[in-house]
Amino acid sequence: MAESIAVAATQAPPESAFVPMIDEICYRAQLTARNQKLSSAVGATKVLGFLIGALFALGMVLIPLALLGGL
Amino acid sequence: MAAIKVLPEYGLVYDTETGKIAPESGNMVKYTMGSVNTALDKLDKYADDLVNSLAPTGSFLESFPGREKSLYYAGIFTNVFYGFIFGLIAAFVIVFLRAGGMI
Repeated sequence: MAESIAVAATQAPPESAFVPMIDEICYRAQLTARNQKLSSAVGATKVLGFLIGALFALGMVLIPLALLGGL
Repeated sequence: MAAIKVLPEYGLVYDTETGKIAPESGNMVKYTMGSVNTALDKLDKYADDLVNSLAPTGSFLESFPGREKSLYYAGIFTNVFYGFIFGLIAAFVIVFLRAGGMI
């Protein structure tokens, strides 16, 4: 019994079980970190980006209208 | 059962389950934990990378140089589209009211 447990344990030494798992964890952590960084960037730039887009759209419509005398 | 070698020259181990110093039995399996420690150090760096993702600027652990603010600009462009839609609606309202003589 003890010998069979020992044989089973030697067939799964720590490096064969841990290291691929660590690589998998690093891969998932990188995916999560990338998505989280993009989310925080969208949250951090919402005022600036919204202002840029709104002013661009307003200018693109109203400036030609004003130059043509429509306003 | 886990055991820690305390006196290898006398063959004495510390049994972590019973808390006693006992002579080393012959059917023990010895592991080297060096590769596990290296993997844990790597995991520590990637955990720091995950924590650093809470800030929009700064580069990842495995990204090429010069990409510190790429996701920051990506966030600006994402919000520009929402602002563009809002600006078009606002321009429509302004033109509509102006044509109707209400402003």
